[in-house]
Amino acid sequence: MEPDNSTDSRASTCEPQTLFGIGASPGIVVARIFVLKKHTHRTVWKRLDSGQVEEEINRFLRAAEQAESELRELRRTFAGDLADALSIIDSHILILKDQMILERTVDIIREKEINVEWALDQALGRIKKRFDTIADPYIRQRYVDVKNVVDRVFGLLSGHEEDVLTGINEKVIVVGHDFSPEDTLRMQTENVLGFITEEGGMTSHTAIVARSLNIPAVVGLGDVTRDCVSGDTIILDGFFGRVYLHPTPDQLCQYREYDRQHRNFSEELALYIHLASETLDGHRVRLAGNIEMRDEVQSVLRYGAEGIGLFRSEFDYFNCDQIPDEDMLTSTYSTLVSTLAPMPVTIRTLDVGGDKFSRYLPDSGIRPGVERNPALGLRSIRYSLREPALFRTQLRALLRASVHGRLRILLPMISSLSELQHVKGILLQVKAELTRKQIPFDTNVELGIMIEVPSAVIMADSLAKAVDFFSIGTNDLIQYSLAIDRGNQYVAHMYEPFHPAVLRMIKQTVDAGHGQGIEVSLCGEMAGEVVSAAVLFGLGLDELSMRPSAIPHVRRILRRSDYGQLVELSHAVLSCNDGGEVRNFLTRYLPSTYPEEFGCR
Amino acid sequence: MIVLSEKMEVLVHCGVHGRVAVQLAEIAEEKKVKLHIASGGRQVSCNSILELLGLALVQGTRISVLVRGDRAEDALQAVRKLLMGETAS
Repeated sequence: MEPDNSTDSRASTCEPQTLFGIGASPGIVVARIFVLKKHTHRTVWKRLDSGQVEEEINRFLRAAEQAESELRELRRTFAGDLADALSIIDSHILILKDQMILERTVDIIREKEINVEWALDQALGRIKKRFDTIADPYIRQRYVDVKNVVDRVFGLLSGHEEDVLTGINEKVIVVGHDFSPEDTLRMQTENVLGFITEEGGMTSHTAIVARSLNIPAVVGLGDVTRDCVSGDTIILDGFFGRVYLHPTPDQLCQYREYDRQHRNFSEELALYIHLASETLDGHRVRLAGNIEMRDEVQSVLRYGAEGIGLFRSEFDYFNCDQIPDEDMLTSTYSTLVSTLAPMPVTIRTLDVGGDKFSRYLPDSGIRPGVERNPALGLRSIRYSLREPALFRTQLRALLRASVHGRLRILLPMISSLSELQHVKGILLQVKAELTRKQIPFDTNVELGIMIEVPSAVIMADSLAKAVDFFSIGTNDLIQYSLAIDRGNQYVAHMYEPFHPAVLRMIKQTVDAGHGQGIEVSLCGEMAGEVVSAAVLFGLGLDELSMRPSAIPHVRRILRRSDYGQLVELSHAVLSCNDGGEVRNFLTRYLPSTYPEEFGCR
Repeated sequence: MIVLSEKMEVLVHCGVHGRVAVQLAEIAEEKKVKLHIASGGRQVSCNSILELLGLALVQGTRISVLVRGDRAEDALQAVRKLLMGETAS
């Protein structure tokens, strides 16, 4: 790639234009752009004399060596906390030294007595052919990395100045066809405020690096380099994946203001860590954290959580070379409960099966891949009931930890009352056993169930009489009620948390729980989304549990709301006919009610 | 010299993509073993990250792992751990 400084008469005459891409890294930037036109390496074919072959091979090896030392140098420069970015460089070093590139190119030069460029291009072509046949998009996309690496070698062979960023001596937004992760990484130290590419997606390595560097970016913008020239001032909106070319003075003014607001806003959010979780009219909702490792307990406290709403207990089972014993589990649970006390800690019993399994767990005669439909198979509480010894060990550990504070036991995937009664029977036996051995535990330890199967929603009024709390797991509830596997690329777009069916099920569960005077919380991904927060508050949930870092923002929304209005909002969305209608409604409603969060655009 | 072979299923999330492929190469280097993976009638060396990616080992693929070297048991254990998704990834 090389800087394109040509003046273009289109620039001054162009109308304001909005381009829609993918917001790969959040943030807003208003700045002049620097366009890097794609530099095409024209591969010439040159026959060598036999005497030139070894020299040609050496030329190739020198270029490869130099490319490697550049990568290693870059890796050294950025050693630190950019783990994602560094592992990408590691993979590029391995690709560079791969036999499919190194040895094959040398072989081709030797066999066909042709120049390096042609040979390397041939080698690359064969790799491309191989990758093109791969059905999995994620693995297929890794060809982009191979291309990045080989382009680097091509650049060195041609003696071109490879530093795409030289010549930038003011703060700019860089626009190009695509950047290698390495180029992106180097943008941090240059005058780069943001970047835009024609290629790429959310999971492209370039996007990952941009996010870890906090450089706003929009990718996948088609022929953007054709439509703009260096020096134009543009607006880059990394939140919504939009780029405004030739913006009007009004737009510029407006976005400079958004940019300023956004900066202030991030600082302001920190203030919400220590404030109470209540609406303007005093309605309280507990905001708790979801975690899966005991080490994460500090982050729960750091973001001002009022408890742990979901501790996924699988980690201890998956990360050692044996099934964890009772003492080890007790130690994990006690640490959590005593650290958070007097705040509640909700621990979900083992939720394995489906896509999660460990070879150290008893297999119940069923291994992954054997079940035809694992999502509907032997998973979660069903597995625990089939492996009673394992389950009893976990229950004993939970009970023993309960003396250190407020522990709540959460049973996943309950689908009927008899299943729940079965578990309660086992729990009673375990309690009796502890009493007999004079091991102390909290006799009033709370027991709750996940509401994540449609049958549990429908029977919630009856289940509510048998437990102390409900916790709605929206991820599975959506999957089971809409019959959508979110991991299936053909139907993933139909996974719709705002489907009125989902919202009505949440409402029905809340009403059933409150009818029996028990608390109802919600712990799916939805809980941590600012777009859904207001709706969920309005549905009357007592607790939302989310990734800890989302808590300050969700709390801010709560504190700026009036509970009466939230309830009206929930009535409005409950009467919508489909998910799109709910989203349209929210698009109109949220910006006027929460201008700082949604008012920008 | 010990030679071990084991059939296993790729359970790691997203399958053998860039990072996992790098880690397989690292296991071979660290334990000083020759590590091969066979799937769909093709066998490749883990020294070649490109060959490995070319196997398209998505989650759920059944593979055979072949390890040669004095620390084969050690290496096999590490591979199992990596591919069965038992590390925090």
